This record gives sequence, structure tokens and C-alpha cells, in this order.
Amino acid sequence: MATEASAGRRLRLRGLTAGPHLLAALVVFGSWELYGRVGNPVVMPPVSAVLTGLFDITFGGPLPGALLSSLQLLFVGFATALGLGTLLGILIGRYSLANRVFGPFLNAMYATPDIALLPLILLWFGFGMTGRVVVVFLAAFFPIMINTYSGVRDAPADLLEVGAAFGVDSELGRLRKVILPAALPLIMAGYRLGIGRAVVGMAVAEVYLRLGGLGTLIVQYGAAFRTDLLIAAILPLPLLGIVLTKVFERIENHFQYWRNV
Amino acid sequence: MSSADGRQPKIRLDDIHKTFRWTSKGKQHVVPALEGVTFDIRPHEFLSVIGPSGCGKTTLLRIIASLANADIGKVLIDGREVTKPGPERAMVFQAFGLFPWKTVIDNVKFPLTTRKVPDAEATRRAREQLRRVGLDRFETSHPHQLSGGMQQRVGLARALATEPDILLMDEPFGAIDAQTREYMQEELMKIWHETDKTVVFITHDLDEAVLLSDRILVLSRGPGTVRRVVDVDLPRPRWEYDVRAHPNFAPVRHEIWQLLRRDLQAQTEEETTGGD
Ligand SMILES: Nc1ncnc2c1ncn2[C@@H]1O[C@H](COP(=O)(O)OP(=O)(O)OP(=O)(O)O)[C@@H](O)[C@H]1O
Ligand SMILES: [Mg+2]
Repeated sequence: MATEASAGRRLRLRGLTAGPHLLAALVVFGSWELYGRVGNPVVMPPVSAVLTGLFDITFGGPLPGALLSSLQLLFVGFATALGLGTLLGILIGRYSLANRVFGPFLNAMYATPDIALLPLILLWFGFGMTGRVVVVFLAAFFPIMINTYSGVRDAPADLLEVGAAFGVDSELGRLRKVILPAALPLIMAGYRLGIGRAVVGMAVAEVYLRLGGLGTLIVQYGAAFRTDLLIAAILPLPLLGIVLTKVFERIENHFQYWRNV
Repeated sequence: MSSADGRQPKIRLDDIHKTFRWTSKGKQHVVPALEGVTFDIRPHEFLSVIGPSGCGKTTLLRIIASLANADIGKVLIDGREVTKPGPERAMVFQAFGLFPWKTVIDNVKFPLTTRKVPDAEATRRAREQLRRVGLDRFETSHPHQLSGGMQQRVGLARALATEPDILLMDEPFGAIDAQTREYMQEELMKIWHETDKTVVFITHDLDEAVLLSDRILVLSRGPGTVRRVVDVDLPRPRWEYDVRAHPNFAPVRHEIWQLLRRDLQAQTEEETTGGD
């Protein structure tokens, strides 16, 4: 009974919060359409033109292929960041020796804006796939590494003692049974932040490092002054960022449920 | 290797010394916690340990559990020296120490899983202990969904899971409200009667110590040494009558209180005069 009532309340709340959203969307898109129709379409094409453009480049157009190629880059870069970020986070969070060896380098790199590194990455890794992967990797790596590091460093001493009392007697056991489960909410939050950054990194890599995927379309349409298609090609980026972040938020909440007291 | 009454002690504490040393901000800290504790704990007895705050009770229990090492001295279980935690000793923690991400049953299975007991067997044994503490309906709950008293019953079930000979309990009911505590004390007594375990039970609560124990070990203020051992001569089972109204209750309680009071007084005087 109680859960039904609260579910009902939640639905009504959702209705209340959706109302303003819809209204805002109506105002924004409405004025955009109007402005586009009276003004210069190269500067600002109306929404309807953008949507038609999106339709055209999606069905029988170049968008799906470009998106797929972008997703490949995103996947490789993010997966590398996830693996290395988690591993290094564990190492420097748990072992002071690792922290002393890697810590200063990581701090210095973290303090350097990724954009400033682009020319270097170009020099070191060239125009190939590797350079682009490195850009995506760098974008996603730090939130993942830092969150893993904090989670592992603050491993609960009392639960480590509980583990020891009940037969956990190896470092691997401590990691698997106590430290990582306790750090999981923070680690997952790092992945969520990381995937959002990775999407940005992907766009930067494909537009500024070497044309590829969505980047090709964006630059092409820009050069041709097809602003309607340009916006249509940019649209998948925020969508991708939002959708992926939401997906990771879901996963994160799944690992977090025991925290809600 | 045998004690005065001719039986081998369950646990022998042989001249246990422990000093904590560490440096922070370039300053050396030296805190002596235990200074030569020698004591025999009998098989199947219920022993309470009482003493002023900071006198080393938790440290002593951790040394018995091999969660900390003594600087000097050793712990013998059934005549054999122990240096690592083992399934024959199980701890019940003051703050429960449940893994919040595990369900109730997985928490209870934990000591079995770490010791490679097959899953079906572990589940069966965990269920048995959960039934014993009356929580079999909460198997799939998570700790945060339970009251403090229920959480500590999970802690107790977990400690019982490996069917240890020895239960080590560090103020297990200290964080539980008074009424629930009384109920838990009774349950613990019943479990102890059923299972025949040796229990080392730390408490701050004089009534609790007298109510539960065969003997009470009174430690001096820190660094802890054995101050006195008090026998509790009250018939069992003790849940069948009003123990506090028994003529033997008040004298024992008074004796321990006198011992503690002197130490507490000395401690307060030291603190107020700033002497050391
Ligand atoms: N890990 C540790 N590092 C440094 N000092 C410690 C450590 N554990 C205990 N101590 C110190 O050793 C002394 C004894 O501590 P212990 O926790 O055993 O006392 P206790 O009798 O259990 O106290 P309480 O009744 O408050 O629980 C205290 O002075 C404490 O500050
Ligand atoms: Mg203590």
C-alpha cells in the first residue's frame, strides 16, 4: 500500500517537473523556428530545416556510417581509459610506492588542458587511429583514475578488520572482497563522468586532429555553408553524451542501492 | 600446560604486552596498551572483561583473535600458539561490521565462502544460524534495512557460521537500545547454553557482566594488567528468574564497582591536574 502511494506521488511529481520542461522546449524551438524563417538560413536555419536535414543524412545518407566510425573510436578510447584508469587508480590508491612513482606525473598531466596537448599528440602518435584514441583516452582517463584512487584509498579500516577476522588473508582477497566493493559506487561515478568526457574527446579528435566519423560531416557541411546539415550532424554528440551518461547513471545506481539509508 | 584445576585452558594468555608506536607530523607517539596480561580462560566458560575506557580491552581481544600481534607474550588455544585468525575463533563487533553491499545471508555466508566451503553447504549453514537468531525471514534484506538489534543478530549469526569454539565479543550490545539489549542478552545466554562455546565478552555495563558471566576479569586502567578475577555464583539458567533480585547479585556488582571506581577516580585526578 505504502509503496503504491509513493509510486503515485512520484508519477505526479514527474508530471510536475515535465511540465516546465515541455514549456521551455516549446518556447526555445518556437522562437528558433520563427527566427530562422525571417533571418538568414546560413546563420540560423529554422528547426524544421534542421530536422529535414537530419532525416536526409540519416536515411540513405552518410550519418549512420559516420556515427558508427565515431562510436568505434569512442569505444576503443573509453575502454582503454577504463582499464588503465581503474588499474592505476587502484595502484596509487593502495600502494604508497606506486603513488610516489606515478603521482607527480599524473598530477602534472591532470593540470594540463587536453587541448594544449593536441599538437604533441599529433607529433607523437601521428594522424592515424592511435592519436585519436589517445585524445579520447586522455579525456576519460582522469575522472576514472581519480575516483578509483579516492575510493580505494579510503577503504574502510573496520571492514578490512572484519575481512581479516573471517578468513581474508591475501592482498587479492582484500581487494576483491572488501576494498573494491566498498569503492564501487565511487568507481562507477568515475565511469559516468568519464563517458561524458570521452564523447567530448571524440568530437575534438575527429574535428581537430584528423577528420573522421561525425567530424568529417561537421567540417564538410560547415565548409559548404549548409548550416542546417551542420547542426543536424552536431546533434548526435550531445544526444550521445546524454544517453550514455544516463546509461552509466543507471548502472551506478544499481551498485549504489545499499547506500540509500 | 594445564591450569590449577587440572584441565587444559581453552585460551591461555601468556604475559601479553602491547605498545602502540607511531609518528605523525614528526612527533613520536608511544602508547602502552597492555603490560603483562597473564590469564587462563576455561573451556565453555562465559568470561566478561571489564575495565576503564582505554585500558586495552579491545586490544586484548584483537590479540586473542590474531588481528594484532603482541610485542611480547603469546596466545595459546587448546595448548597451541596461534598467530593467524582461524575459524575456531569468531568475532562479534561493536559496530556490527556488516558489509553493507551484501545481503543478510551473504554476510552470514562470508566466513564460509572465504574458507572455500561449497556454496550450497554455506547457504545451508548460514540459514541454520539465521534461524537460530530468528532472522530467517530477512535473508535477502540489506543491513541498512534492519534495526541495530537485528544487525547485531546478523553479526552473531555470522560469527556462529563456522561453528567456532570461541566467541570473541567486543561490547556487542553497546550500540543497542536498552530494551533490545536485554532481549539480546537472553538470546545470547540461550545460544551459549545450546552450543557450549567459550565466550570472551567485553562490556562497560556492570549489570550485563554479572548477568552473563561465570567469571569477570577486571583490568586496571591503561596500560592494562589483570586487576582481579571475580567469580559469579548465580544459578543457571539465568533467564528463568530475576537475577538482579538474587542475594548474590549485589555483592558481586559492588565488588567490581569498587575496583573500577578507584581507577576512574585516579584517572580523573590525573586529567584535572594535568599530571602524567
Ligand atoms: N591502532 C591503534 N593505534 C594507536 N593506538 C591505539 C590503537 N588501538 C588502540 N590504541 C590505544 O591503546 C589504548 C587501548 O585501546 P583499546 O581500544 O584497547 O582500549 P579499550 O579498553 O577497548 O577502550 P574502550 O573501553 O574505550 O573501548 C588506548 O590508549 C588507545 O588509544
Ligand atoms: Mg574497546
